[in-house]
Amino acid sequence: MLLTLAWRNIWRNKRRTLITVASVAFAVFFAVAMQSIQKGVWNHMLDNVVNFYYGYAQVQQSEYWEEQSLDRALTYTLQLTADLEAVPGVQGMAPRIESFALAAGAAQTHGVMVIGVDPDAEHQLTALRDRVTAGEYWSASSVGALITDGVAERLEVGLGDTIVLLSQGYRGVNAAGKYEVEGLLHFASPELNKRMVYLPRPTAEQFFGAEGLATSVALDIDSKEEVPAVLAALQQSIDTTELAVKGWQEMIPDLVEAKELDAASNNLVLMILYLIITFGVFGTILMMTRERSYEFGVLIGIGMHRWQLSAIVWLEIVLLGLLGVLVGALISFPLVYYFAVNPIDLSVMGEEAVQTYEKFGMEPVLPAAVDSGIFITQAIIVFVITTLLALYPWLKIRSLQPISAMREG
Amino acid sequence: MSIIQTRGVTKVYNPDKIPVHALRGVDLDIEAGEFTAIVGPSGSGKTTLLNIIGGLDRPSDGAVSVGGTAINDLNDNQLIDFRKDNIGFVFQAYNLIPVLTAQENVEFVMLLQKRSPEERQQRSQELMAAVGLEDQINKRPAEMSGGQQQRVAVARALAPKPTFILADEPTANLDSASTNNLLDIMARLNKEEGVTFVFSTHDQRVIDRARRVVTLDDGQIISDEVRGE
Amino acid sequence: MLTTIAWRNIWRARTRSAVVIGAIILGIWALIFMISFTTGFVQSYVDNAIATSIGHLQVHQDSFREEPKLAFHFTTQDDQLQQLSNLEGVAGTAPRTLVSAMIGSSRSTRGVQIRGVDPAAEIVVSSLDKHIIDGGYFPEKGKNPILVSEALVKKLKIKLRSKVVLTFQDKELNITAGAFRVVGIFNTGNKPFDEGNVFVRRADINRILGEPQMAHELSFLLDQPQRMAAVQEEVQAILPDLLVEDYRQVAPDLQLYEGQIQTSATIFIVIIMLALLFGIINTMLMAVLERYRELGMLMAVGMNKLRVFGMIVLETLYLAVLALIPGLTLGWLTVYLLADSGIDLSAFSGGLSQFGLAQIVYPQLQSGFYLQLAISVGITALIGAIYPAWRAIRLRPVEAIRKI
Repeated sequence: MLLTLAWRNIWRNKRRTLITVASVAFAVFFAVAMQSIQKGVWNHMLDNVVNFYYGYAQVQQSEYWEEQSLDRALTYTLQLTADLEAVPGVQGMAPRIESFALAAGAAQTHGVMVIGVDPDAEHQLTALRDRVTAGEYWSASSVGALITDGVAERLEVGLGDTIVLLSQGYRGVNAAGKYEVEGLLHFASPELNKRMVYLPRPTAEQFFGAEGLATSVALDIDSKEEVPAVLAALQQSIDTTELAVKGWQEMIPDLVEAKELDAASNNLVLMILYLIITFGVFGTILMMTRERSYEFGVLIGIGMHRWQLSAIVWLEIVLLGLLGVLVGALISFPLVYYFAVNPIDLSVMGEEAVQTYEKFGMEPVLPAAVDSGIFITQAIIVFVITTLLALYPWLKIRSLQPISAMREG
Repeated sequence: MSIIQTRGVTKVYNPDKIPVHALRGVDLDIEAGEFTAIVGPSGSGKTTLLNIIGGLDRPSDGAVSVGGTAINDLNDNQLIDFRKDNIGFVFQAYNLIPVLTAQENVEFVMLLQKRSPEERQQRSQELMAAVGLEDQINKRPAEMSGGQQQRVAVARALAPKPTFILADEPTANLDSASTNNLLDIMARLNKEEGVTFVFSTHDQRVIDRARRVVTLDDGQIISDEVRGE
Repeated sequence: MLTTIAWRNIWRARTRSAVVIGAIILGIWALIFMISFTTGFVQSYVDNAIATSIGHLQVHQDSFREEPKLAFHFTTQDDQLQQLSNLEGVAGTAPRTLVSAMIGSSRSTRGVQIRGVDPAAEIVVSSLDKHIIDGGYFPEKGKNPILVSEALVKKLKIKLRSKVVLTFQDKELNITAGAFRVVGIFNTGNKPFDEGNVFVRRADINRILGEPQMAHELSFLLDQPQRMAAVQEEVQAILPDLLVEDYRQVAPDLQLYEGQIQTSATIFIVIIMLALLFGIINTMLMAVLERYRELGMLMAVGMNKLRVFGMIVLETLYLAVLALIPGLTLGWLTVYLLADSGIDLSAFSGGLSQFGLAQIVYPQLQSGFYLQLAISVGITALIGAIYPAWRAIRLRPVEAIRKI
């Protein structure tokens, strides 16, 4: 009955309720849209880097991360493979050996990242085969290079051409080699697309003079959510004096922080928006409280406790707010869903916009994230706001004198 | 023993500034089954007396007991519960909850008393029938006439089986026909069910039908007349 | 008379008026804060880019801008450089040789761009010496000195006075290498730039490349930025065969950011105004509905509809004005106070340097914006008044008086 009473009270002044609900719905709609895009863009960007390159976690020699030097490579043994595979949550692994090199075509040079991988394991983890846009992915006997189209463009080389790689190998030996371009790759992340050169691992080991070594072993983990548990398990099972485990957040701390910064500035905007909406809702509550003081007096007069009355009024206000959340969510969901399926393509804004995004290592698309957490967060925010606002009628009811309230009515 | 007993009740408003003596020592006894009108000109203190008897207001001095309970010793929350279980109120106007139907209004106090749904249902229907509104139970107050609203208010006041019903100017906003109808119902309830009624009024139609008339002036009882049938 | 009634009316329900006024004040203040912050943020990025890497104007060979090849260079003459530096409004001119290379230490290698600079000229144009955090700037003498960023020092596991080898292609397309010694370590606060660039003397790199006077880029810093267009023409006249561009052409993203300030300001304003609109409509509607009787009486005694409408609109405008004055003052004060001290964002320094953004933001706001804001609030109040005012004039006096 209390719920019925509260619900009917809301609809006593339809116009006012509609305005209030609309204002909350507006805030919720806007917050959901903004956060979905924000979250979508960053997740997309982080996923680009994490899924296509780092992997969710890596095992490295304990000093490798600091120095990123071949001299800090780990010895990749069958024993290590077995140890890692034994860790629950680890589906597979991809050993890599990587270092910078100068790549030269017939006339051009360009600094690149040379990365030696196991063709099958790498495809398992990062779907590398799917990135081949021209030529063929490696077969068992391949010794050639797969380069990104960005590198190919810089070096002015194409399929079947030869590139020269120059670098410093293991323990300072000179590394030099000629490799045929067997395929072209394309990465969405502009940052990766302009610098990646892949070699089969044996070829790369030869090039770097680093037989049996790997700079990192990327681990295949099913989802982001499992990462902390797997990391903890790995800490237990490996020799931490020799090896170190790195989670994806550790490997791209700047991006993670930049995401937080962006989220913080968005939250500021939303906070202000909600504050203004709060004022509006408070106005409604103010009027509602005043015009019902006679009724409140009667109810207390006939034996209703003040807390019961406050509970009804609280329920009304919270219902009003949550109704706004519901409407806002219903309006925003299709929109968010649409943009999740069809990301906003900024390339229509012209070449300059595309370049700007590329400069920041982003693809010029804005996909939205569909995340029920965003909707729930809005509901919680509105719930808290309305509960706080219900303090006002509560205070009024607490000090209400039924006789004078009825006289004024 | 009287169901309502006041001894030396005084009420002073504004004691710090310009004191207004609304009641100056009222001794009143009301027995079960009475049909009593408290009358007097505006400012005579009748509403104050009614508020004090009803536990809505506290006397500045003196003692009030209702059904043997000294209500001036109760704290606010106890008083609310006491009112809920022992006193039925009928106010001047607008005293129904506008968003509830007539029957729901009658059930409301029983809900606060945590009665079972079956009991609420049954009793509210009985009471609606007793006030002659069995065909109006699903109407909201705004859809009913003033007289009908007041009859619902009487039904609601009776719902918790109170010791007595307190009615503050119940006919003030009603036309003659509605007034007579309401008074008929109250008189019948009084006679057949033994419900005790206490009114404040200055409506002659009500005074004519009262069996006891207590007249107040300037905060004191100046006459107390008991009439036969 | 109408104005008096309207003015007194808004004081009748003080709490209600205070709530709307409070909301508008908050909205105005928030807008000023957000937009001044955005402006400061973007401006610091643009200023920083101009002052430390791009300069106001740049000169290249046409084809170098399309493809940064070693061969697309030009030759500098000292007297010509002098002439360019002496142009009115020019603070300095710095020629640079830009070569893509690999840098190797005994421990590791990385890909970088070599920036061969004239030490004295570079100080004027990019304040490179100010970013040195360890060691020193280029010495007068000494063979092949190099400045390396703090970020790169860590990656290469080198320190001051370490030897590094730069490997690159010379003009005959042969792979060649040169040994350099680290004399200074810099940090510009822009991580991608720092990780990707090293500085050597132009004379040294040109000697290895076998072209003593070559350069790929001339960067100008102006001390009178307002003369940018004029200087651009004068430079073009002196160097007719080369491409002279201002910073907006060199880095279109900078122009985009500058444009972004207005765009984001507009978006902010629209959102906040919409939020305020709900509150205004709600409040004024209540004010009208609870005065039904009184409005009916006013109309009964002969106040015409236009006047009633005007009265409601006027009341709304009064509320807006009452909020505008403290709101604008508060906002202005906030910007004024923060413009000196700045807002410290160093908690996010990693994320900021990832994108080359400053850690301390100095909010700033063009004065025209305050007017823009005042007009926006006024328009919002007018829009918000329409519906309540329309409700008011639809009243029929007789009904209104009867209705209690």
